[in-house]
Order: sequence, then C-alpha cells, then structure tokens
Amino acid sequence: MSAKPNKSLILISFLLFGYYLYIAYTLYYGGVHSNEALFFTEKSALLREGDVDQIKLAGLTFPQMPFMLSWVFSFIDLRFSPVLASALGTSALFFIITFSIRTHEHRNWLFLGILITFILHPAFIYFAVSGKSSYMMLIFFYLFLISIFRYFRTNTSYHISVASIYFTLLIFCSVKFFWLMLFILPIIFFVALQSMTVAKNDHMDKIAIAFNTESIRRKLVNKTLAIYLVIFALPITAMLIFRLLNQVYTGDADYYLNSPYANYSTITDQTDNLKNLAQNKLGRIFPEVHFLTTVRIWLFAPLLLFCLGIFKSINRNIFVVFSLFFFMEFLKIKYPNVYIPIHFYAAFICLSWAVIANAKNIKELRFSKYFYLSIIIIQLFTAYITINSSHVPEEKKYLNAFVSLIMRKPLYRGDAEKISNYIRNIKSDDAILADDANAYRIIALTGSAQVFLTPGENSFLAALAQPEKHVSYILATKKESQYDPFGLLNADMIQMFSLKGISLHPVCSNKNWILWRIENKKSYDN
Amino acid sequence: MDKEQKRYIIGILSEHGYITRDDVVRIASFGETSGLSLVKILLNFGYISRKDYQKCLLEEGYDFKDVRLEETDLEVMMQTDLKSVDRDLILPLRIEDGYVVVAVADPTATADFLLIEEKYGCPVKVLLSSDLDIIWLGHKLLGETYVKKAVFELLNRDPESSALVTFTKSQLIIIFSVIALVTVSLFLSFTNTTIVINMLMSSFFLVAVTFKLFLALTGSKLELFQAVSKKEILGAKKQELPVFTIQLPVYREDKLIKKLIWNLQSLDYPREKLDIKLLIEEDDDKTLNAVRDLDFPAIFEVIVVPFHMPKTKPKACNYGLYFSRGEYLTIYDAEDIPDHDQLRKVVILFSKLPENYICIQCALNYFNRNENFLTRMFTLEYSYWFDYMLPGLSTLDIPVPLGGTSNHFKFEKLMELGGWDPFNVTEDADLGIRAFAKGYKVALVNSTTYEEANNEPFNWIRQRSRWIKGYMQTYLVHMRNPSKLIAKIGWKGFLGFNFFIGATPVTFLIYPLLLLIFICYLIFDLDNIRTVFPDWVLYISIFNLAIGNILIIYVNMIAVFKRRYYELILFSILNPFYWLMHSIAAYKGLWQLITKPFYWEKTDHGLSKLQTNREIKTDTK
Repeated sequence: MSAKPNKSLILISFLLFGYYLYIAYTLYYGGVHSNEALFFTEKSALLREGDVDQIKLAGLTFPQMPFMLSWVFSFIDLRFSPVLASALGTSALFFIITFSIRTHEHRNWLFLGILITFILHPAFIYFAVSGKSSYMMLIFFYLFLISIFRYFRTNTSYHISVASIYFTLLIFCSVKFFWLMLFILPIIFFVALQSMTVAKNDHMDKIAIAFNTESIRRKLVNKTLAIYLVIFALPITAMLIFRLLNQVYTGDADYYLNSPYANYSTITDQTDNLKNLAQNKLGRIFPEVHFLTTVRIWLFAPLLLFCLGIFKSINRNIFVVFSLFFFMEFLKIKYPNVYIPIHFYAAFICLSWAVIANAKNIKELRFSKYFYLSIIIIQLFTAYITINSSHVPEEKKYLNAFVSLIMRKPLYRGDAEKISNYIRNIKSDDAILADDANAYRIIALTGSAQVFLTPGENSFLAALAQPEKHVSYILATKKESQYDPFGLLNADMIQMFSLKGISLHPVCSNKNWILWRIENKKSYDN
Repeated sequence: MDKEQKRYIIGILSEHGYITRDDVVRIASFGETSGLSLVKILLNFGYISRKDYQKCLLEEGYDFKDVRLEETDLEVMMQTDLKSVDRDLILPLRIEDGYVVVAVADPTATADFLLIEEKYGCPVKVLLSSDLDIIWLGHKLLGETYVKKAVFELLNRDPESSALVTFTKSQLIIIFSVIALVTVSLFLSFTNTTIVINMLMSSFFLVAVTFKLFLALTGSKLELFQAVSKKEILGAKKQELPVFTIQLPVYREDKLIKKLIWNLQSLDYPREKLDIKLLIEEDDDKTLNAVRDLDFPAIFEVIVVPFHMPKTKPKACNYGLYFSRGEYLTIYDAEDIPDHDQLRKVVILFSKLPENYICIQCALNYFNRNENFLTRMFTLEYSYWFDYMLPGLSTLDIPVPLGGTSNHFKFEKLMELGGWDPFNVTEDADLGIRAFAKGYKVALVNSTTYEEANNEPFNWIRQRSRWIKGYMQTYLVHMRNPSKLIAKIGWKGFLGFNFFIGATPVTFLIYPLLLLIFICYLIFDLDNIRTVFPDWVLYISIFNLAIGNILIIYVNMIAVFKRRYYELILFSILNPFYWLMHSIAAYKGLWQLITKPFYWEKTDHGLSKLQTNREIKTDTK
C-alpha cells in the first residue's frame, strides 16, 4: 500500500459496503430490525413529513451525529436510511483503520487480519447491517485514539486538538464516553511528565525531580493543565451548551437522555435491556458483573494479547488500555441496570489496531504474523460465544439471523410489520393518533409519517382530548405489552376513550399493538 | 585649505585613535564597493559615534554650524540630486559673495569640493555641519519629487488598488440600498426582519469562527516544519549574502533608539551588507536628537521624510524605497527584536523557493507577554495568528494578509507592485492581497520577531481600531469589482479573502449585538424576547453564539502549544471579554473609516517595564 489511499483500498471498501448492503437488505426485508434504526427512520420521517417543531427534532434527537447522517440518507430511501448509513459507516471504519496502517512495516498481513474481521466478525457485521449508531462511535473512538497516540509521539498541537474534536464527536455518538475523561486524566499527567526535559530516564526519578524543583514543577503543572484543557474543554463545553439548549428549549437539561421522543434507549433500557436482568444474571458463561467484565473483554478481544509485546515498548499505551478497562468497569457501576452493548467491547479491537498502527516504528514485534492471524480467527469464534451469551436481546437476535442466513434457514419474522402493512393501505385523510415514544417502530416500518398524528405536532393535544373529531384511528399498546407503561396511548387510555363514549373497533393487532378504528368519528363541521 | 587637502577624515580619526587600522582598510574597501562616501560609512555603519566625530573635528580646529538656520537658495540647491546629497553628505546651500556655500559633514572631502566648484563655476565655501542636519535639510527641501511619488505612485499606476477613495459609487449604492431595504422591512414586518437579521448575524458569526478554527488546524499541521534548518544557516557563505535593506519607520520613538541599536547589532548578518534606514518624519526632532545624542556608533542611516499628507507609515516606507540599496527589504518597528539569524534564514529560503515567491513573512510575538491581562491576551492572539492562521492560509493557497513588520520582500518586485498604499492604514495586509492577485506568493519562515505587546487599554484600542479600519479599507478596495477579484485570485482565494479579511471586522461588529440579545434573554423577562424571537430563533442564535465563543476560546487554547506558553492557557477563557474590546475598537474604526479614513492612530511604544533582553534569554532557555 502506498502513502496515499490507493484505488484497490477504495475498491475493497466499496466491495465491503456492497457485501454489507446485501446482508442488510436481506435481513431488513426479512423482518430483522433494530430499535435504533427504526427510531432514526421514524424521526427522519417526522422531520421530512410531519408538522413538527423541526428544530427540536433535529437539534435534540440523540445520538445526534448518527441521526443526522441517517437523515441525510433518508433522501435516498427513508426506511433503509439508517442501515445505508451504518453499512457505509462500517466500510468507512474499515477504510480508516486500514489507511492508518498504510506505512506500517507489517501492513500486508495486518491488512489481511482487518479484512477478515470486517468480513466475518459477527459484531462488525452487526454494526454494519443493523442501522445502529455503533459504527460512528467506533470511527470517532478510533480516530480519537490514533490522534492521542500521535500526540504522545510528536507533542504537536494539531494532533491534540484533532483528538479533542474527535472526542467531542464521539460523545455526541455515545454520551457514556464522557466518563472516559476521568480515566484519561492520569495518562495526560504521565505524558506531560514524560515530555519534560528532565535529565533522568526513570519515571520515578523524573517525578521526584519534577516535584522538587520549583520551575519544573510549575512547567509540569502548566503543561498538564494545558493538555487537559485542550483535550477536554471542547467536549465539556459542547455538552454544557447542548444541555443548555435542552434546558432552554424543553425545560429539562437532560431531555436528550430522558425523553423517549429524543432518545430510543430511554425505553429500551427499561424494557429490552433491563427486563431480562434477573434471569440473565446467572446461567451465562461470563455474566456481566464486576471484574468479570474484564474477562469478557479479553474473551471478546483477544487481539489485545497481540499488543502485549508493544505495550512493553510503549508504556503510555498500557495506561490507555488500562483506562478503557477501568472505564468499562465504571460503566457497570454508573449504569448498574443496563447491559453494556457489544460496541463497547468492539472498541477494544479497534484499540488494539490503534496500538499496532501507532507502533509502526517498532521493528521487533514479539509475535509472528501467524500468531496474529490465529488470534484474528480465534477472535471470530470468541465473538460468536460472547454475542451468543449477550444480555442484550437485539444482539442475540441479529446473531441468530446471521446463523440462519449461513445455514440458509428462513429468518424469524415477527409480527412487527403486520400493523405497518395494514396502515400503508389507509388513506392519508384518515389520521392515526399515535405516540411515537414507543410507536416509532410501527411508524418507521410504515415508511411514512404523513398519516400519523404524534405528540410533536400542534394538534396532538386536541386530538387526545377529542380523538373522534381529529383522527380516524388510534394506535395503542396492549395491556400485556412491555411498552405499555411508556406511552400516552396505552390500554388504559383506550378504556378511558370507551368510557367517554368513543366507539372503538380493533382493526389490526400484533403482539404489542392494536390499531383501533373510531367508529363514531365526527367531522369538524359537526 | 592646505590642512584638509593633505589629511583625509579617516586618517584624522585614526590618528586620534577613534578607529583602528583594520577599520581604515575595511572602510576604504567598503567605500569602493558601495560607492558611499567615507563619512557616510563612518557615521552609519558602526565605526564612530557622532559625538566622537564632532569631538575629534573640534579638537582639529573645525567649527560646526547649524545648517538648519542657514539661508538657502532653492535654485542652487535644486541643481543637486537628493540621492547624491544622501550618499555624499554634501549640500550646496546658496551662492554668496562669489562662493558657493556648501554644507558638508566631512571637511576633508576635497575631491567632492572640486566637482562642485566645476559644477557651479565658483569656489566652494565650506560650512561644517552635522550629517543629520544636512540630511534633514536636504530631504525637506529636495525631497518633494520623491515624497510625491511615495504618495501617488500606486494611485497613478493602479488607481483601482488605491484606498484614496474609500467607498466607490457602486459600493455606496449597495450600502444605502441595504439600509433602505432593512428599514422598509422593519416597518412592514418588524418581527420577521429582526429574525432574519438575527439568523444572518449569528450564522455568519459561527461560520466565520469555524473557518478560523479550520485555518488554525490546517496551520497546526506545519508546527514541526522547519522551512530553514540550522545546518542550512551554518552552510551559508558570508560573501554570497546579498545587501539587505531594513526600514525602520519611527515617529517620536526617541526612547527606543538605544534599544533599537542593541537589537540591530544582534543581527547575524555582515555589517557591510546591511542597509538600515531609520525613517524619521520631518517634524520629529525628538527622534532626530535622540540619534544625535547617541554615545555609541549607530548602525543605521537616517532618512528624513518630508511633510506630505497623509502622514502614514506606508508613505514613509515608500519614501525610503527610493534610497534603498538592498536586493531584499524588510520592515521592523523600533521596538522589534528579530531572531538573530532571521535575515540569513530569509535569504536561504528565497533561494530555495520558486521565483514567484516575493515575500517571506516571519512570525511575530511578544517579549512582555506576562505583563498584564492585555499582553497575555495579545500574545495568545498573535500566537494563533502567526503560528497557525497564516500557515493555514498559505497552505490552502489563500491570500495572506502580511503582518505589520518582519515581512521580507524582493526589492524589485516590491517596486513593481508600487510599494505600499499610503492611504491604507493596514498597508501590509493590502499588499499581501495585491501581491496574490498578481500571481505572487508569500511564504512563512520559522523565525520570530518579538515586539512589545500593548499593555495599556486605551493605547490598545487606538492601535486595534486602526487595524480593523485598515481591514475594512482593504476589503472595500478589493471588493470594488468582485468578479475581477475572482478572476485574479480564484474562488478559493475569494472566499478566503471574504472570510478572513471581510469577516474579521464584521464579526467584531456583530459580536456585542449577539451577546446583548443573549444577556437580555438570560437576565430579563423571557416572554418579551419571545414575542420578537420565537424559540427556534433563540435556539439557533444561542447555539451559534455559544459554539462560536467556544471555538474562539479553543483556537486561543491551541495557540499556547507551539511556543509552550502553557501558563497562558487559562487566559484564553477570558477571550469573550477581549473580543468586546475588539468590538469597541471595531466601532471606533468604523466611525473613523467614515470620518477620517487615512488618519493614522499612533500607538505609543516603550510602555513596557520589562527587561527585554532578559526575557528573551529566558525564552530561549
């Protein structure tokens, strides 16, 4: 590979995109969807077609970056847009990683390992075909690491400021990474110390001299503070401003996290990702509990082993890896009731490549290419084991779908699309009252938001008070649905409507939803 | 006259022990190669101080006259070219009693007297006088042709590039049309018009600031790039170095003259290859007397700039061009401390660059950065401007607005461009754009000139208002015909010019307005503001203002890295206050642009209490 992205690399990336697209298309139209993709589709539909507050929708829907990209793709194909974005994004991730090792001494066989991973690794295929935002998180995470490592090596402001920008973007892809800052703090100090011109080689000696010499101590403090500020000022203030905007606009600074209209995980963290906690806690190979998270990471990303030799040479990297392990453990403490999604584990694979890419000047890697490729192959199997024992139902669902594809078995198609298919045949004049806090799946699968009247629209409250005057249908959850407590239009509300004398007739239903037709609809003229 | 005929000035000085034998040889040799008179070399190239020179001649029995009080006959004087007066320090004043009365600085220059006798057809009557007085009188009375050229050369050659006309007719039509349109719109639909204005202002603010961040990041890629290495400097041969002109335009800088000599003496460049011109205004006796009173040898020539409006620095520099000898030329301010190897670096870099590179800009920074809030903020600003922003512009092939000093030119090309625009108060920025439009390029070199940061708020505002007014002038001049400008500098250059030169004053002007709306929104009754600006407008404007401010702060934060000024990083947080000072200066500049566009706001120098040399030494450690 040359110093510039050669045509073959671009071609391979496009082929990979095509490969992802094929799988994504098969799965999507085979009935396998992710909540996040459906959420993005529904928001894009509302943004394009709904009579909604567009600033609120575009400005506060979270995670912002993937949503905006998905919205851009919605002009090509609304329903498929998040998947298009994720397929392209994952191919871009492949390109970025491969491009970063272009000058590496062992680039040829490193490239092979990367290619194998992106073609066969179930987690990466999952990121590419699910329409989830994981691809973008991994892209910015990788770019952040690469820039940080380059800063460690060169001490230039370009790399540190770019790292800061990537970190900011990373936070707007996955807000949990905000906490990573805590664990990077000591590394920055260590790096600042290393870059001081103190005539000692040993770190402890350097620390001793730095702390006991006033001028060096002052310089060290200034430099450490300067690096902290340059890396973290931007993400912190960006987040503060974002929260200020949330506060100004909605009255809740955490609207982007707490509102089911802005963030799909508000409900999934209370349903899919929480519900099975008790039954999943035990009976797994590696339950996701403290300390065993670390074991799960090693199991999922054995490529870290390959980096051991490099760690010995560049001890700053060890601290970065440690910080990520601490970060993962911290996530378990901070969010005890939510499982850690697989993309956080996949970040460690990207981390390994970042470490390898950064070590391009190290002549002696401790292991051969066979060891590397063996790990890459083993990693595919360990990934299967890890995802198969995942606590997040969606991850398992996709893994089973992949297996079904390979085994040429029919895909499990739930009844999620049953209602959407019915709604597609409803005339656009007949509005459906729906609460997209939980009904975004149905709206997204319908492929258009035109027929729906959602809480973001001005006439929603009037329609909620007197549905018979404003809409022809009501989409409500069933009493037994896990989504029932999270929306305005639930079984209780339907009962209340009935008590008010509104005659409702179920026209279509599935496991979670019923579409009610209003029999005694009144027109405005009445 | 027997005495004078037998003994020449260098012999007299040598006999009195003021110069050594080696000096005599060097002076004679330099006189032959340069064509300069011996007395010129003696007094302007560091061989003897004026005081010692006078003392020696007094001891020899000569009497000094104040030539400025002498009667003059312009007809007689006009027969001598000013350049020869400047070179030989001989000025015929009048014909009196059959003698041509000649003011001379060297009473032993008998060969020159013979030539004058031949020219005027009568014997010479010598009036021994200070060389500075001869220069003063010569330039005052004979400098009219040159000073007119200095003022009107660009205007005559390329009137479209001259800032003599501030607003063209078409520009005035556009400006008044916009004002009328806004006024009518406000009457017709107050809310919608204010919303549109608010959106435009805040979006423009964000885009302009983002562009600056982009430039800074692009520039920061070159942080480790050394345009000229130490090895190359060591390899440069003294004999091959060209003559380098340094122009030092000063006005009432009497306190800085000693400092100036120290700074110039530290330049690592052969003395004989330096052509240093101290440009003093005709009415600036303070500085002239400070030069006269120096206790040690000066290493510069004095050029007195005759009075002519506008009284600006570019006019003085243009005037100095006609008396310059160098292959390359640069400008320093009186308080500047250039890196000692700067001139060598420039010469080496010019030799490496393609022919179309006609200017090399050095970084500017401040030696008194830790003096107070203002100097700290100024240092941050200059650090990101010269270390990041200008390299960014250069990398992206966008016109580079040159810094006030330390821009080194190829002399010929500078003359070809018509020198600086004397009507433009940021003549340097304007020249950068003009050069770019002619297909010439500006390079940046890894060398710094340390200046004195303005440490006094009112003085700062005066200086800044001139800069911002100059940017407005430059923008108006080059935007007289946008399509022509695009044809000259391309779309990229055009956009870069608009966002860098045009946007800078505009952002300063709109900044306090945006801030005011935001503060009103935070402090006062929200409902009242909401009647004018709906939520979505407030969302976008707060977003733009907040992100814009953060990015400005961020750019300032990055600035500390290259020079390791880590202690300044916290001050970058105070940048919004610093920007408010910019806004005050911007409004002052705008007012002056309308009322007195060519007025040169004088900045006082020498206010710093810091010991510069010590500071610099600390930096290099």
